[in-house]
Amino acid sequence: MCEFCVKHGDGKKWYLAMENYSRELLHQQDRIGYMSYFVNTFEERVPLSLTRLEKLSRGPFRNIAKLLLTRSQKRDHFGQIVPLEDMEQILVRMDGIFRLSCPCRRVTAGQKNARYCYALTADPQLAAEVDDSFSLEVITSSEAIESVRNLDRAGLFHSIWTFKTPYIGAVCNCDQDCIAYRISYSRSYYQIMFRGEYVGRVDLDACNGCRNCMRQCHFGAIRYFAANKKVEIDVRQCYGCGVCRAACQNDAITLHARSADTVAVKIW
Amino acid sequence: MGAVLCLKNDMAQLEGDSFRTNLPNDVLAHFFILSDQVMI
Repeated sequence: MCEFCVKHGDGKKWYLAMENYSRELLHQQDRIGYMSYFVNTFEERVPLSLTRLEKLSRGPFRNIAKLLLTRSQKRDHFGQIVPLEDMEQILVRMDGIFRLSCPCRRVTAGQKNARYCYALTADPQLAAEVDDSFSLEVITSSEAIESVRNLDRAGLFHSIWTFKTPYIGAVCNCDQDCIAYRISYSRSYYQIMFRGEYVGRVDLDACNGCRNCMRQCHFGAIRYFAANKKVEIDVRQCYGCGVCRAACQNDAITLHARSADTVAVKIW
Repeated sequence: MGAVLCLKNDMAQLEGDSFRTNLPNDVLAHFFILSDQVMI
């Protein structure tokens, strides 16, 4: 279990605890104001933050900066990777969902209408405060689940996000255009999201060595062994997103609890 | 007030919410300004 499962989930998966999605939480601490500010200013704010992070990462205080930034991020806006089956459990419980264009893709890909993000509320005040360019549309849980399934097959991994923790306000479908991916993984500036509660495992008898899963993995966790023509997952690298499974025609990859893996249990 | 974190590569220590270093104030100020201005 990750740190948030202990703090915000009574030792169970914190993102399946419905109190973390409640209207009461949404209407406390000016969360709606925070969410709309976050989205509306993202395109202007984040490129500047990335420039500053690059400077910090080269400076003498890079390790302390990582600690301080992760600490404030955990307070305000932190994420976790969630596999498809858990994402479906989240979405099916929501009584209102907005789909909107992804702020990250505006910055990284110049795409203003990449509709990969879902706000887990259909609150009218939020709709009024978010900029029209995000063109919020109300969708049902079933529509959201169908859409996320398609994105999973396309190789996008799924993540949940807090807005003033522990309120979980959004889910996103991410790839290497995701700012959180870049900050946490590819540029290793600091941790902005937890890995998933799972790690992948390959059934070597079922693996035919096609290596399609390697192309699907965003985290470089899958290794190919030419001698036996099989792949294996390095659990030290695995983020537990599970999207590799969609690429496997033999269903050779399954997810297992990170907490039960002696190597990965403390790697978040 | 929290454990002292000794960070090998940094010329400073984080102790709870306070920060210990012998580096000049202007260097330190630059660091804090930069980290305060990061918002993702």
